[in-house]
Amino acid sequence: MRHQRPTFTLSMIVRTIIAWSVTLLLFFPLGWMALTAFKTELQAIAVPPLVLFEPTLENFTIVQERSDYMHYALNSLITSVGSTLLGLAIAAPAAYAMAFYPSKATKDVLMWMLSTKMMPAVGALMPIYVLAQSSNMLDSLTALVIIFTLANLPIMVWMLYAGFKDIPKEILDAARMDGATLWQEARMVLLPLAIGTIASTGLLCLVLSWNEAFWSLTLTAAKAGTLAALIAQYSSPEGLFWAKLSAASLMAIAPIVVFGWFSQKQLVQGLTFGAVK
Amino acid sequence: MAYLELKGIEKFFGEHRAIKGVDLDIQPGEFIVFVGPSGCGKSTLLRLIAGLEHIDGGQLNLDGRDITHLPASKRDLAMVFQSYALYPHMSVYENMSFALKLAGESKQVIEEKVTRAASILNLTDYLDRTPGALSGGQRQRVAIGRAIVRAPKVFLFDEPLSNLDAALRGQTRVEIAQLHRDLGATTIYVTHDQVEAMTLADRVVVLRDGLIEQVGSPLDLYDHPVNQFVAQFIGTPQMNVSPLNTLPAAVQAAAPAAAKGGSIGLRPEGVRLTDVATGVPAKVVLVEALGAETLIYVKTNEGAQMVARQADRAHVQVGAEVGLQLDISTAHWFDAKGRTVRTPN
Repeated sequence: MRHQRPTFTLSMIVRTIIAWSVTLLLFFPLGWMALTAFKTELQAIAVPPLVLFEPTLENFTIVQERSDYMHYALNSLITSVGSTLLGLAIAAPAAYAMAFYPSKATKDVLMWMLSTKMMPAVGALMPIYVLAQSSNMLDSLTALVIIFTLANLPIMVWMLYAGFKDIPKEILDAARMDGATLWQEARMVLLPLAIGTIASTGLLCLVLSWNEAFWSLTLTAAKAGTLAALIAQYSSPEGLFWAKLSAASLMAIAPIVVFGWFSQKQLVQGLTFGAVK
Repeated sequence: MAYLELKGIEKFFGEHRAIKGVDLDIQPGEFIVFVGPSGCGKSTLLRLIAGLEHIDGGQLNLDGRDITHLPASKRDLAMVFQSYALYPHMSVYENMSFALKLAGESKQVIEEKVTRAASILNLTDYLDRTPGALSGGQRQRVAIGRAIVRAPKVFLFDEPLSNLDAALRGQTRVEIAQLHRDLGATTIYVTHDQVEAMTLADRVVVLRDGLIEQVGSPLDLYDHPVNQFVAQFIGTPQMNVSPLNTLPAAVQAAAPAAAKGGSIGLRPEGVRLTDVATGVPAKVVLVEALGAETLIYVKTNEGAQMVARQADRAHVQVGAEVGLQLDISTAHWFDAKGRTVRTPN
């Protein structure tokens, strides 16, 4: 035992260093963006880059003045919440059926669902654009909600399936024996037991929809544009304005970061029970 | 008319015919035990009665009413599961009152019934706890309590004791028997443990491969098994069954004509150790001294293996040459297909 202790400590140190390096590497662009958002355009492109400077809020004022932030934020909110609720409404029954009443095809169906995520979105661009156009849904929130829902469904079904699988079916059988209808069984037994899974699935879907850029940019213009579209405005025609782009990006991600920060506790909190030996 | 009637009940899992047409009549207040080796379909049959599996063929009647395709929630049966299947997010009180709440009973009635059930099961001090804070035995009581508060038409037990340790299992078995006596409720109990079957049942149903082999009172099955399977399934240690040709000519001569080419079955208490000179010669393979009784495993010179049970302490050693006295008057005879051959007496 004594011989092993130093190697254990060493591996701990190495792992800690690697973990911190990876974390900093991932965080650096975000941190740098946050810093840049408070610089002037000149400071933003200064060489060597400035770390210490006098912060300014003018970028935020300009972004809000030039493009209506609230309009885009509201669109983002509607599309992400809408697609999350719609997705849960479709994915939960699907996952319920597959987790508690599996058939021979269940595994294949799950794999097929996941495989759709491997196709590049661009592959479906033309048909979806034409469909949206012919049904008069270009630049509409409805189109985005539907697309986001469909794009996230495979992951939602997978996550809910994995979560439901952990719930012993006998508990649901017991509810049935106690006289519960399917709806009562879902509401009074399954929902309280799976609330952690459902919440984390919903949050993930919310984040994915909020961050979605490809379809937001290709299918929307001024009316239904989301925050992704707002950010994009500051990168193209008039050249790159790093400080304003950073300010717009920060404003776009801030709500979801804050939301994620506050809900992480609930999501990580494990529901440890003693129902089944 | 029977209270619960099973008429040609069938169940398929894909191509596999798991339950192959089961007929059974259960009278009100009866304690029925389904017993059989694992995979025989006893739990499936219980789940078919419960309504948790779809019945593919036949008819199920309860109290004169066809309930074959009625959903589980409408059958008014209560089930105690092997894993207890308590609602982990509810307190003991909520667990026990769940069914009554769904049935729309008033708060007062619920409280009265739950309190009474809790006092019967010694759970009064635990009503506020969640299942996670209870021991295995207590959880088992809650599961039983959840069933009895409802006063259902039939109680279904699916191997309820298999998660308990040996001491607690014995104790809970006695309590279940007592509970059945007090409540007088019709009960179907599934187990693979034949001691539970023998001690609890009014009638035992022995199942094999989705078919009923025999139905009868515990002692009836012990004394008059219809075939070698039932004979060997009931009783511990199991009945000694030896092909006739591995036994001396004297024994073979005693066999009824129909058992020629078949085998002889002797309960361990029907095999006694005597001198080498007087009995069937054999060698001791293993001695199990259990205190109250001793089990002696022997092998005859012709190769037949047997167990002898005796009440007094044995003084034989492993490897010793002994003689066996076989009590032919208590012997069971089986034909070449394993069916019991009835002797005239």
